Amino acid sequence: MNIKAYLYNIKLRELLLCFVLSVFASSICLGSTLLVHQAHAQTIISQDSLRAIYSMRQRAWPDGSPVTVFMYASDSELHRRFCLRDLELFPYQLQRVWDVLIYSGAGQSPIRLKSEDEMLKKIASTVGAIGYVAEKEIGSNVKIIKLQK
Amino acid sequence: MLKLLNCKNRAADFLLICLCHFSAEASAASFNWDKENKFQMHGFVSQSFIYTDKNNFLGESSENGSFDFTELALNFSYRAWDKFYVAGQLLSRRAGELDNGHLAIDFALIDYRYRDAVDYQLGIRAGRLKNALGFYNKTRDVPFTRPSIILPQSIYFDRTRDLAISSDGVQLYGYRNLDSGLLILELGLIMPLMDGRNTELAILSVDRAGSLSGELGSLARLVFNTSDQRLKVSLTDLFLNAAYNESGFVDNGKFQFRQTIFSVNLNRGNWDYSSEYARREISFDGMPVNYVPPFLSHTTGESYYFQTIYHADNFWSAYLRYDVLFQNKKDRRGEQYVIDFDLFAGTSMNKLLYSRFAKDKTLGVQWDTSHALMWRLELHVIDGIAWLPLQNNPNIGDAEQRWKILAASVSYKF
Repeated sequence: MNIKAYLYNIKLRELLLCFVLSVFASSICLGSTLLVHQAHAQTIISQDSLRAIYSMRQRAWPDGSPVTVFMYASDSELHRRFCLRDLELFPYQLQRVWDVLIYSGAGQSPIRLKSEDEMLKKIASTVGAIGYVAEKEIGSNVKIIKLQK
Repeated sequence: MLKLLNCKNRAADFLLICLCHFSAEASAASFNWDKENKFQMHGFVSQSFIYTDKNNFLGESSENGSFDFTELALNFSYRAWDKFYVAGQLLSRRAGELDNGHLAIDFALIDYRYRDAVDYQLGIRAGRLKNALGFYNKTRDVPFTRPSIILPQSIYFDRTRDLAISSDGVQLYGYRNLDSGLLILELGLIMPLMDGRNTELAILSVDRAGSLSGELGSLARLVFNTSDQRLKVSLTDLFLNAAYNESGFVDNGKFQFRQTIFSVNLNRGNWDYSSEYARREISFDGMPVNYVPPFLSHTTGESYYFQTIYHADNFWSAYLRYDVLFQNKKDRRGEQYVIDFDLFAGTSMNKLLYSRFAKDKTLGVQWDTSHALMWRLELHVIDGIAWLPLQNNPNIGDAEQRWKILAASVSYKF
């Protein structure tokens, strides 16, 4: 087998794998699990409200307490999935919104965390926090909030 | 890249050192003393290379190209109390004869959030504020928020940048969540920043002996954005006032500038389409005729552009734009201007024809190596010199009508 045919074969296999994975992923990963601080009263959040919070427009919860917004790196799969499935926005659109806020003085960006472990810890220790993880099983230090689309 | 920057200006050097120093620390989510994550710091640095076949743009670009276009910024924000928020940004910009890299306060403001309900938010900002004109002005110096290295000059002139960029004032703002989308309203009273030679050149074409001083003006903007962010429309209205005084010669000359911008953005997945239309009314009163000839005392100009961006994937995108500017909408080709000028000055200045319009076709590519590092390469094919900055082209009679710009940039943010 010459090198060209070999590379072609690999590419084909990769493509097939990608396809299978994406079909698989789309069927099981419906969205992220949204989390808030344990003391938070709300159990349901609307998509509009989640968008307003993640666009860093809404700075306070309905009870007046300040919101602290957590996220992962913008090029991470966790962030990508959260944007596309929960917010239904492209990651670059959200990034543009934050950049405009930051560099015009109109607001701050969400706080970037490195891992889901760190997310769980931060939400447990920050009153008014909101964040998300991929898994459905979480400890009792944080509270799940349901997204209503 | 640091070598290329080679800033002569100490203040800009200092800012660059701060940027490099803090960028590592800032990548951590917060600082040790900031347990509640109330403090944030961000910044960016960008270096461009510009080559022009004729005329100079943002540096002596027509010989062997120029690295004279460098942008740096560092900003801070702090959620002081629940409803108060403060933010500030230092900016250094080196752009040929237009800017020497000195450190300027780009914005410094306090923001009070009066209401923060789920379906609406209301607040007030005061201090030095960015002017929200059209889609891009308030973050025009940020490579990551503008669509290309060089913004559509018909609306976002580099020539009058000092005047457009920020102003001191107060602004009321409100967001309203509707079923169909989001409505944003901003109403501001502003005192334009008018210190410096660039502003005088922009308004009077010549750096005169007297001085211009800003007077109270207004800026209003209404934006509607559908919830899925697929459609965004905005209407901006700017009203600027200034007085010109020169002791013993001009007493209280008036300059008024009114600009209305209508902007539309359509987003269809990987495709992004934008267009903006601007109408400018410029009027002078009480100015001597040798400063402002009668045929230039009241003019209405117009500009528009069409732009398409294709996002191939998370890393690559390409953009295409057609951008047009007419200094006088009733004299698009500048013919009447040449006649008036000849009658007024008694000399024939045919070359001035093409100082009255500019048409720019732009094609570019963008490569986002990561969310923090971005590369761009773009080509501009231009007919006309209406937005050509005079600072790097002191003898406008030598400027050429048809010219090209090739620009490349690398930008980093944190």
